[in-house]
Amino acid sequence: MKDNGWRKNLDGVVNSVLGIVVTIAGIVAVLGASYLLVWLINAIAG
Amino acid sequence: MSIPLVMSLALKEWVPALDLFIGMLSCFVFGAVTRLTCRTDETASWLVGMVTVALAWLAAMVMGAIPLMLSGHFGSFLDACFDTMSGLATTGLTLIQDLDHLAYGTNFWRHLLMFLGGQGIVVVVLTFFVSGSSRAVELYLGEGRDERILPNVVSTARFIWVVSLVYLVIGSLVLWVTALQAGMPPAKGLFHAVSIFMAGYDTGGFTPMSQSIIFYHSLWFECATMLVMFLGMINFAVHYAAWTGNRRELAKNVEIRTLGVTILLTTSLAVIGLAHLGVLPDAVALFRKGFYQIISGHSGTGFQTIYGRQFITQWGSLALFATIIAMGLGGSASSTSGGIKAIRVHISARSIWLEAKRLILPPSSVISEKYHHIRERTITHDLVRGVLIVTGCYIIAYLAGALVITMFSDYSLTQALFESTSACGNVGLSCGLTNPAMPSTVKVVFIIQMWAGRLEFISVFMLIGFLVALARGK
Repeated sequence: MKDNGWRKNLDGVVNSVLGIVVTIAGIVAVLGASYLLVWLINAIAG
Repeated sequence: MSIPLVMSLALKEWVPALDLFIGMLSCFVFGAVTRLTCRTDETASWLVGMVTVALAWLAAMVMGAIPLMLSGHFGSFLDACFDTMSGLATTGLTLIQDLDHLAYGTNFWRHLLMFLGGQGIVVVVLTFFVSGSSRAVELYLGEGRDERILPNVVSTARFIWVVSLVYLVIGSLVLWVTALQAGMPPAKGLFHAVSIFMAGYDTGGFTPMSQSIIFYHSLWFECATMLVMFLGMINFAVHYAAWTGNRRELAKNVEIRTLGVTILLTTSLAVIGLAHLGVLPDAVALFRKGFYQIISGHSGTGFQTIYGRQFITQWGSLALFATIIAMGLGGSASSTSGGIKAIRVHISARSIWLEAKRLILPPSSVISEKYHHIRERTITHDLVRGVLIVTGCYIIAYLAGALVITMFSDYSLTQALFESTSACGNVGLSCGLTNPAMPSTVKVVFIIQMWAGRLEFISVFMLIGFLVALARGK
């Protein structure tokens, strides 16, 4: 029981870290895509 | 106030420390008086819970304004109350004078107000001072949070704080590194990083310097603040899903998808408008000035990389319109953003589609529309009614505020609508209208808008109804 509890906690920490990494990576990707969009609109409409 | 007080003492800022101590003492006296006069053993009803939240925010505004007023950087107590409500409601409009010479402790208090207000004053109480969950749900919902992430409201409040504190450490570190890279001294850079994080993550918009983000002159610092603003825009339930292994929720969630569409549309409009005018030389400038203001407005933060007057003199009508729309729409529900919120925008649009289908299809058809938010949910009549009521309240408040401002001042309707939407949507972008010299009536209108917008109107309506009933002797 004690081992399972420890393992569960570790899984929780790993999931949280992965959640943070994926969230931040997603936002960075959105920022990159937004710059491309701005560049494209400027090239067409500017 | 104890944290900025300790900071002031550590930095040997004796006068600001005394201001904060007087503020703390006033809070204790106020707390003791209300405890003696208002204490009851009866269980609080739904109405009383809502009214308590609305009044608690007003009391917090008055108490929080005391050290700001004593700092000598405000023209009147009304101005100090304006800044306190702006901080608590995570708006970011400010009437402070000579901000660049404000003491560190007092400046930190302004930013801490945002961090507390963003999570919610009641959430703070539930997290740190309440052990059970009895009648806590009314207080929690009354503060404009309409979903419980965990079955227990107190656990939900604590999870919100865990997420915020973890991101406080990560975000402050990222901003500190970019501040150092921009040439700031380490200690000053850390103060700026923590302050900017608290204002950005809580989509507030206060900054330690009067020039907002222009002060830093750094592309990387601007990118880091955009990252923080995006984090603040995300629903805490989505954070919870991502943190507990359900990372696909980030791509599937209806609010994230709706935000993607509205950001795409408002950015396109703003950039097309600015590109036609040719006021910004290249794509990098459009990204740093145009896109930044859209994200700042959409998230409800209010950080600026342009001066307020540039909205009026340089932006043109299309880009200005796009910014007003972005500010009005806001971020996710159950985040620190203000405005109508993505989930309501989505359900409002889907309800129109639903009605169109009802008209086209035979009357015997069974029509059902679903959306994905953590799990599959059905769009019901009750849901649509609730969404349209709050959405309508926001739109009326944006327009009514603009009309009142135009009546009591010399500002144009466009300027008034920009500033009214900014105040009621808890954004904080300013086209230069908000300043200490503006009429007191306009200041009061803005305070009411910030307060009602943050509480999403329902608690305020409850308070008005309660006061009317009280006046009638019922």
